[in-house]
Amino acid sequence: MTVSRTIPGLAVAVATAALAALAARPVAAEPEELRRNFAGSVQLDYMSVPTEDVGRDTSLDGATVELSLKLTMDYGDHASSSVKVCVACHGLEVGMAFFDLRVADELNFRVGRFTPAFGEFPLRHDPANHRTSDKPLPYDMGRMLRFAAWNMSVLPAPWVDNGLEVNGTHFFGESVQVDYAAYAVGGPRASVDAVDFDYRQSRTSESYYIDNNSRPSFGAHLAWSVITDDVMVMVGGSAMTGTYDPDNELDFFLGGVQAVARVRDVFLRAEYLARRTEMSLGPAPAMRFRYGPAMDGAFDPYFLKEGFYAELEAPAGKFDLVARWDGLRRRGNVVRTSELRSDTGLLRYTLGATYQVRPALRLKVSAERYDFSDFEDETVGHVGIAGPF
Amino acid sequence: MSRPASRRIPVVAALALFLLVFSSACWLPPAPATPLLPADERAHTPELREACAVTATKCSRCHSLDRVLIAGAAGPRDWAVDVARMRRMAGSGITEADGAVIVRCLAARAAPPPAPPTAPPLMPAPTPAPERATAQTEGGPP
Repeated sequence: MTVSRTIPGLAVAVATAALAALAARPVAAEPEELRRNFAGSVQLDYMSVPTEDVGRDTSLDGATVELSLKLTMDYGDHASSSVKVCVACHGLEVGMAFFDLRVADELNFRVGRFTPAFGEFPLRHDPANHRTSDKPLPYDMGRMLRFAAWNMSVLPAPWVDNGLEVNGTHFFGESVQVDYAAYAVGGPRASVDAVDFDYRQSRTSESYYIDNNSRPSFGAHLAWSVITDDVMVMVGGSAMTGTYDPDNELDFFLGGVQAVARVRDVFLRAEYLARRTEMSLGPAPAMRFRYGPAMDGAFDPYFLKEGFYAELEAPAGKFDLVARWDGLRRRGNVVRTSELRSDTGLLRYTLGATYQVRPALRLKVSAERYDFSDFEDETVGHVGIAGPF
Repeated sequence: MSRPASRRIPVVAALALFLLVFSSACWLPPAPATPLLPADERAHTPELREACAVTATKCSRCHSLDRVLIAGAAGPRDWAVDVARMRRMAGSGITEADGAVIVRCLAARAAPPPAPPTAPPLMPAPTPAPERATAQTEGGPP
């Protein structure tokens, strides 16, 4: 048995021991109160691509609804369970189904199906929690133009997977805190001989929520924050690595850094993500790939996909104004059928606003300009309405 | 992906816009109130303003304040349970002390408005005639 194969077993053993210790805590003399909480959100968005005759050729335009329903059950202060279902472009999905077993602020175990801690945006991926109708490009799932040619973003959000996460927060005084998380999850999936993740395998009924290679992917997140009444600054880093094919031969490494600053009610957020992914060269790479080998005669089996965004959010009465600049870049060989070149990029400029129709109901309007390196530039408009309940 | 200078202009403009607007926030006067303060301004004590400022800072880290505005908690006890749940979320950044402050702010939203200050009457109020009171109760002419 190799060391790499003993790590998952060791992690499970440690987690099991910790959970057993938690379960062995003395039970309070008074029965703890069980409480349920129901919440959800809905967004209806209309996406228009005026620069295309038929927008559907390059995007999922038109009207789309995103709905989420979440039920949380508290078993006192140290345990809770959460279940969340979402309905979006690809039907009904289970976005959460996990238990939180909390020992202290510094030690919480999350087991089940959840969004592992990575970056800042996934924390507020719900449409009622961010001000634009769509997501920043590094986390976009299917609302970007040319999403099929790009195989979506760096890490489509919400990234939902099964596994175990250990997380916690340590407070240094009243203003400084450090958050951490470390997790083992099933990881991204693809078929044998793949050249990138196949996101459909993470949700199709054929391999529904089952790990495809019997080996977890590992990840971690660390963030440092200073929070005062008027100012908040957070910087953090995240990483995830593993294999994604059934034979455990194709590896990936995903890294990200993020920063958030809040001055009074104005937010400035920025993140950078990069994913280095190994491609299967196959028996005849010259026939499979568009570009030839390097000077040494060998084909480079890796590609690098990077993404970034910087977003400014400022309130103005019943309006919230948003300006966002984001982009994607992919470097590496491509299969012969791909529409992309070996070094391709996309920059997007977004201006948006929301109007508070009712205390928690917002009308969202935004305009986006796509600047492709490999395609004609395009313009997109969004009009939507979103709110929590 | 090398870009000609003319195409870098939008990038520079976008960066400049971000920095201009964000830095301007540093020089703005303090926000007059958060949307979490009760509608009745008579309840806006300095302590409550401070509590709601903390609430806005902590809650907006993970979600918009819209969620707070529509939460159905009825009183301090319900809010304490909801805030405790949020506090337990990974990375919430809410300490136990913060939790108590947040509950103070949110419970004030559900509390009845304070009674208006009443001055002692200068003379005894006239007693309404029984016939007139009955007519008003029944919706007849005064």
